[in-house]
Amino acid sequence: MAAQNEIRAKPVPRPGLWALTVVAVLVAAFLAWTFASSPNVHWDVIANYQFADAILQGLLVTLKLAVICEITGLLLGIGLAVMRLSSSRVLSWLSGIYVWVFRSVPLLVQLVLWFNLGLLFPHIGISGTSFVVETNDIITGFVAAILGLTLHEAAYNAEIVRGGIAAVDRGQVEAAQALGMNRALLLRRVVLPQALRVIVPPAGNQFISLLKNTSLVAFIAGGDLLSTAQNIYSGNFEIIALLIVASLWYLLLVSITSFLQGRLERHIGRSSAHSTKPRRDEPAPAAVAGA
Amino acid sequence: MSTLLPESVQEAGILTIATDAQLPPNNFVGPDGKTIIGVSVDMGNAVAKALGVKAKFVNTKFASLITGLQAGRYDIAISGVTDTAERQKQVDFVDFIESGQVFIVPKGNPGKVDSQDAMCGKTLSLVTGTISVDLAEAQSAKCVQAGQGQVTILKFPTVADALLQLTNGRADANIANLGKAAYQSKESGGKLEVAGKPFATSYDAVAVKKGDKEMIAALQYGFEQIIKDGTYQKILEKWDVQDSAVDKVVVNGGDSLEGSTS
Repeated sequence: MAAQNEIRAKPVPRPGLWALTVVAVLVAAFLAWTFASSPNVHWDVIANYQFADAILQGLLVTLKLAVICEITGLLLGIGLAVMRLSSSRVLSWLSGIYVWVFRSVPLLVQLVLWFNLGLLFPHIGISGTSFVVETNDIITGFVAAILGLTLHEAAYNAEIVRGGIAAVDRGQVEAAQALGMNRALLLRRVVLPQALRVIVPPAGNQFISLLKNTSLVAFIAGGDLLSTAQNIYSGNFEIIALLIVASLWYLLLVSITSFLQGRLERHIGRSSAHSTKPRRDEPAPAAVAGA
Repeated sequence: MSTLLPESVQEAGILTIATDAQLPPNNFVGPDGKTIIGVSVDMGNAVAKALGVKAKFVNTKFASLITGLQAGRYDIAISGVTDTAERQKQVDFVDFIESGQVFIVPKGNPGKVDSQDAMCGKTLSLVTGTISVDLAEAQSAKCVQAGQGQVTILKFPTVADALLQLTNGRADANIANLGKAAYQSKESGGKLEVAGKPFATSYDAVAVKKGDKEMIAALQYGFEQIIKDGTYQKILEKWDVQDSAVDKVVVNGGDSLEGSTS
């Protein structure tokens, strides 16, 4: 629009903004320096433990749990959201109950219950046959962690996906129905692609909280990143140093996640660029509606 | 009133003591669900009284226990903490309980864990950061060297979580000092029992901010008083841990005991 007649506009001078920027930078630098130079932050200890075997093993457990449970939790969550919005009252109701239960029961309680399932059911299988196994042999700490985290994540993801689907304009659905699309096709072609743009930011948030929720597996001898750091500091009392070691790893993991999330958002945004904000160098959307 | 305590404590008349109330019989929440009771609490109260002040207990988690001490939020910490050479780099210890370690096992000792060598190939369910973990790890290395199975160690944040795995059948034994083990097996209602002879003697200690000489001297004096007048012995008897008595409180004695660890 403005591209045709270039106007040489001088920005309005904003001394207040400049002053504020300088103050903010100074405060940030002061805080960073105070923290870094504090004699109570033992940087030598931090350097010693940052790449220690035990810490790296804990990091691997945290990564494994987060990635596996994100995938399983998201798949189950999508299923639950579709059930919730289905025309079958029973399915919708069951999905609602699931979300209610698994958002209500604290994750910690769930993990401990799964891990100690053997107290309630010492054996799993069909009685009277040879298909009977010890519960403790099947529900290892890792399996209990996967179960608890997946079921918990699924409940939250179901709500995120449901919100995304609900955000798609009703008119779109009606139009697709008028074209004779069946429900499955309508979901795949019309609803989900649009819902995805609404779903990705909160889903990314949810993944980051999952990354840190893995630390609750300490209660079932899980050995994740944070509990490994805790194991070490309860022995040597270098509490702050070990907490910083763990935090630096979480910072890195969350940075990578945020980067990937940004890429994903841009990717999804591109496919629907014409329907949202027009780019400056492109004609207005109305003009390409027929293209 | 004693003038040994740091001035700030004398002025306030209150000795603030941090404890992580999940370790019976040392420091744990009583049947009313809120009052902290146990050996540590009785000792803290008695020592404070001998020094002419009142003890105030604050229930906090382990991480805040030590950092709070270093930051001056609490005067001292009494929380069933074991004095070790490594920990002495961060805090000072006034040692007031001396005890060997034994095994807590499920009734009948199905895993037959009754000595350190019997740990080979077995699963131990322990509390994070306790010296029991160091002992089990050291034994595991010995087992492997002798061509026997390693010791599988499961680590939990609290005693309750660790002992649950004995009842659950996931672990063969837990290691605790004699007093704690006797108390736990008694409280379990016959589900757990004590096994083996005491080994690896260690001190439970009051943790003091590193270099707080005034506080250390005051605590030593306080303990001497309650040992002399018999209060100390009475407290140990009350909690059925009289075998853990020391003749004399020492400062940072964990180091000297390490040699006797076998």
